[in-house]
Amino acid sequence: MKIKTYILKRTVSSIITLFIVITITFFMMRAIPGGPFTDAKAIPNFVIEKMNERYGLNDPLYIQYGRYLLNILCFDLGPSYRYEGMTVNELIADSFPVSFIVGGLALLISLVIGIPLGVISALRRGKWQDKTSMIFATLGVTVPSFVLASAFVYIFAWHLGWVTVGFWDGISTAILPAVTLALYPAAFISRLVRSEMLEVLGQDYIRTAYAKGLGRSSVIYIHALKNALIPVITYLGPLTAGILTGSFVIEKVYGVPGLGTFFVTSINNRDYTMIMGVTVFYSAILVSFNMITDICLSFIDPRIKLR
Amino acid sequence: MIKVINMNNDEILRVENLHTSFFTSAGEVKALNGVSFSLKRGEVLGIAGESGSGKSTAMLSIMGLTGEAGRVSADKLEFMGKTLDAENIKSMRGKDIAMIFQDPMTSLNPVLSVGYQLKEALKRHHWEGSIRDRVIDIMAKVGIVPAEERMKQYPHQFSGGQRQRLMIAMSVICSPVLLIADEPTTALDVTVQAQILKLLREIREYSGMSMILITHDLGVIAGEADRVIIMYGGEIMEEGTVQEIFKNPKHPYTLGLMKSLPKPDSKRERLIPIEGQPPDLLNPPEGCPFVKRCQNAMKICLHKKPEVSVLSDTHKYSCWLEVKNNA
Amino acid sequence: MYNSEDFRPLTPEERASSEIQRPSKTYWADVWSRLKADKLAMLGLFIITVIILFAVFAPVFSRYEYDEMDFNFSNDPPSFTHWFGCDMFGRDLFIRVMYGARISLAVGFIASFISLFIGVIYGGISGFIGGRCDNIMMRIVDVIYSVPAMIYVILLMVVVGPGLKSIFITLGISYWAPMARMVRAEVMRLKNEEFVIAAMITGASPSRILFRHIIPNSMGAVLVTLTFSVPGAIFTEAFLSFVGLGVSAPMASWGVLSSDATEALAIYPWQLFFPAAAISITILAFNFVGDGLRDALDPKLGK
Ligand SMILES: Nc1ncnc2c1ncn2[C@@H]1O[C@H](COP(=O)(O)OP(=O)(O)O)[C@@H](O)[C@H]1O
Ligand SMILES: [Mg+2]
Repeated sequence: MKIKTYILKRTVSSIITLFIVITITFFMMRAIPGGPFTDAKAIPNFVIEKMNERYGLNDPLYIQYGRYLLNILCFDLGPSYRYEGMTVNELIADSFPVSFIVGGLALLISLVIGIPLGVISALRRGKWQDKTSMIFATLGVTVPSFVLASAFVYIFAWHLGWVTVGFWDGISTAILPAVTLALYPAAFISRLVRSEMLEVLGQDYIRTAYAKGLGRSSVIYIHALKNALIPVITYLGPLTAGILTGSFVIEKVYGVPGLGTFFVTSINNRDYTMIMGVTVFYSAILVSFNMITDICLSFIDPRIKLR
Repeated sequence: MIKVINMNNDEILRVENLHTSFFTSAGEVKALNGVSFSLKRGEVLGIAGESGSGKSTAMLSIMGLTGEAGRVSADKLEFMGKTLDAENIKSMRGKDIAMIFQDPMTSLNPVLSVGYQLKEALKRHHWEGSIRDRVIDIMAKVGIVPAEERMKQYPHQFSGGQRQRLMIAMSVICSPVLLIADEPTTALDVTVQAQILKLLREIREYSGMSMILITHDLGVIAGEADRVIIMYGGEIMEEGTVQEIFKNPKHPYTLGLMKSLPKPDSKRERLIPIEGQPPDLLNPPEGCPFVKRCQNAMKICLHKKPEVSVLSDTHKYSCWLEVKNNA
Repeated sequence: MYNSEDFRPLTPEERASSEIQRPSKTYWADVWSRLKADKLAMLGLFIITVIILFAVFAPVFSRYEYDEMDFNFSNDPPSFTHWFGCDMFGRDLFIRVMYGARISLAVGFIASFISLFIGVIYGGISGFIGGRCDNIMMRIVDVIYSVPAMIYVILLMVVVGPGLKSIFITLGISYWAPMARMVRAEVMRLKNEEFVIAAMITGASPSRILFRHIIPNSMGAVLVTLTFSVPGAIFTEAFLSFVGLGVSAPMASWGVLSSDATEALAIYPWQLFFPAAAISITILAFNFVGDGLRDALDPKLGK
């Protein structure tokens, strides 16, 4: 298969996936008993009626669905039910850049810490370097991120006073949340890289490389690492997903005004268009991200194109 | 006072009393227990024995590739007059001694192009002349053409037989003195087997290199080798020229192997395997490793390693039966 | 030099004694003996047992009730009367953490078993039938995979409303995809094994072959996945509590307890410490057991 055909195929399947996600999301939200405004207590009936009218909620379901699809095609996620006068698009445009900085930084940190740690512990298997990194890695996957976040806030903000939390001031306020967010994936990646590296180092082609007379460093960095990193690239999709959802609580704990915070708020006050919009938005990000990593993978791993 | 150390200048490899162990979580696996042999220039030495008898381990010990778990000791381990210690073998691997392995499907790196993998050894050993020309030349020699195009491809784009050809190309690209081929045809179809053996023969005739050919197919040995070593349980059971071993096999294990060969004249194609299990190398037997499965086992076989009986300059075997008959 | 005794043939007894007696164990006995040798796995198993015992019995023997308020003790630090201190309503935190163990463990196990059930059936059928059907079924799994499970969980929780039962169901139906993939791979591997072909020749029905012969043989891998999915579900439940979708008061899971405690973290940090430690230790224990089990099942690594 040519690389162009592969990209085309992958794009089509991404669009189909996204379409399915949108459909499921739409019908799930409509399956909630009562309308979106019923559980807000103090609203009189005629107001609800008027709101339903205004948001087109009295139309038949298929019309609403068609309208939603059409709007999404125009990248319009509709108005927010709770933030009066704001559209979901505006809310996302306001808050996502913040989440993007925190999340991107976290992604970077987790790779920069996780990969070397995994490689070192595989190469120093059973030695102190291996043991220390694996203790770190085990703790990293066992302590929930919100506990870590709370502990960090307690120690660094209130106890030591090194940082201030609760407001946003660009990169400098993003560091601590990003580190917190990165710990679990960094730990996971280091375990993944370690086990992959050990697996690869036991392969026949590594023995072939040594038999050719290559030195240890060329065997490790040219023959082993490239193979061992393929699963890491495959893991980038779930990793990003984890960082996105992880940001819901981390942003809340650190008071970062990102999309995660808005999402949690919209869950709590049942802002259905916002929930739907964010779900679709996040799914779109992930689906495109998965597509990009798959395409990258097909360049790195020559066997992929055959599939 | 004149002591002729190396009477025969043709000798390129000498191994004396080689012991190799692997340290595993279950304990020390004593894979080799005193193996000695030598090899001459241009000679083809066949090593046979069922799987687990230590054939690969012996070769990897020579190459210094037994890994972290392995520990090698020997009274003598010399190649071309140099002791094969960790330092020396490093510079000889791939240049003077090369090795190919059993499974061509897994022996090539899947994410590097075959051209790159072929060039590597040349670069490492500072090939004089055009690296690219040499790669194209060697690929043509092993029959992978058109070389210019195919060198850009990756291993998964080649068949098993082609991959073994590439492995051969890769191993002989620096014109080694000795090629160790560890069951080069076991994983391949019968027709491809013959082609690979033919290719190896051509390269030998052309370059004059020596070869150690490991196989558990005695038929292959009969066709290719000058001399044969029969191994079992990490020890050498019998050793001799092809004529000696096939015309006059002595050791009960060798006889058992011969019996398990399908005879061309008999209608039955079924192999008659030797009954029983190979010894547990975590607790190697005190005496002869074959004692459990030997029809003629005697009391002494349990407790004492057999003495080596010398039948001719080349034909030796280790069995108490010979001692008994002479006593 | 030698006497004739040396050269007499071996008696059958001598021959037999020269054979090394290898104790022949069943597969699972073998796995268990390997697992027993793994200290961390045993520690993990011990911790899990202790926590389960506490979760079951501590509330029975306790002086306090989990919803018993006493404002005299509001936000008290740990003491001899209240080992873990008290929350803002003066409820004893020790008993609340023990009750939390019941809820969190129940979520972990029940949600995992639901996803196990769905995953085994789905993956089993997909792998067993193969071909086109497998292709379609796996495409569906791919779609599910491409959106983070957490987002479905949140959506589903919004739809079905908060509560313990919703959490069981939601987590159960959201996390079966990895299990299905794993079971499918196992089934594909086992499908061509001799014992399956033998069963086919004897004329066993396909469903019998699948559920009697193939699936039981993939239990090892299933068990490993399970030891990682239980803590996963506990984690997820804690996460849900944090975004306000956990179990409702006065019941409390470890997640709810930690989430509540963060509000007053600056003043009463111990209120977070105990439930957070409970979560971490439990997850650590399951990880130890899972790692150990995986090694014990893998014949390559053990021996
Ligand atoms: N890396 C290793 N670790 C532990 N045991 C090993 C290792 N390599 C080989 N062995 C053991 O050494 C013995 C000889 O193996 P090998 O040399 O591969 O035999 P052969 O090549 O004749 O089939 C076997 O019992 C095998 O289990
Ligand atoms: Mg071998």
